[in-house]
Amino acid sequence: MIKKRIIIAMRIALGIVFVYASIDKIIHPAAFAEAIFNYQILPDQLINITAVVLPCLELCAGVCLIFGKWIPGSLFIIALLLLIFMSALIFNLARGLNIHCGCFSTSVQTIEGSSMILTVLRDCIFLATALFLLFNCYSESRNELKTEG
Amino acid sequence: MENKNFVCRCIYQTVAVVFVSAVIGVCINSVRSDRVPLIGDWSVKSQMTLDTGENIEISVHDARQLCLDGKAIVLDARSPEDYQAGHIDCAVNLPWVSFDEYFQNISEKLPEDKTIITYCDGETCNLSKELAMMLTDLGFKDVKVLVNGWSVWVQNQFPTETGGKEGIES
Repeated sequence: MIKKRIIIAMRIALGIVFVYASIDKIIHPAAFAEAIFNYQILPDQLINITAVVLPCLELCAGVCLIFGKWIPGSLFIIALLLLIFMSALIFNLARGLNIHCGCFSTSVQTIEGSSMILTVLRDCIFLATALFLLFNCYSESRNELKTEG
Repeated sequence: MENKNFVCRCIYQTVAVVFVSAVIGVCINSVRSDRVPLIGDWSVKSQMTLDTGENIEISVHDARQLCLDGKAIVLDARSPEDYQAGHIDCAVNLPWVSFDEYFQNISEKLPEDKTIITYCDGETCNLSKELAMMLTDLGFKDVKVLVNGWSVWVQNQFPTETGGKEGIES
């Protein structure tokens, strides 16, 4: 019973994090498009459409987690987004690109680098939470089928 | 069998959430006043063109000539660490991230009759453009951006310097 409550709390907390993260991006799409541009990963044609759709994806997945609907799909999306985001950060850290200005800088390896590493660590925690919850969903669905069988 | 069911449910829900999100995102964007075009122009030329239609990009050869003739002040918008590691020989450091702090020291010494050229490093680096826009807003008439300035300057084997303090004297 306690385990179930903890899992619900983790799910809602992850949902709140994603809803919170999406709000500023939805309010300022042009600034978010510039942030995506600074990552220098997507082709130019996909930058704006990503800036329009991605925050809504975070919002919808977060809302689904909070209200307990379409949980496996939402968790899969969140895990995928975190993986993509972490890969992009690590890739830019490795090539010395400062994602705050889209510029090459020696300071990326020092000051900016440490803040980027902290962001990667934070995302690792969210990713571990999402994967744990996804695995838990799978276990629950298997148990349900066994009970029915 | 249960694996297959779970994976199918996961895929179906993922597609549904992506579809709903795309529809909501596009709808919100289409009704808002500050909407962004779904396919934007992120080319260097577009980014260096002001709302007035003026293009503020300068070529590395023009920048070099103005620098040699003493007709331009070149401003390095990168961090002091990057500036000291290596900069254009005639450049002074005005880091965009500490603009207020550094600008106080050099504002009176910036000649209004000369061209001001800003640069940073990387074709997508926006520090030089942000600095140029700020100087234009402050009333400087002839402000240009040397796109990917540090890299193209080095590629052309134009003279560079290392070290030096930030500020107009250096």
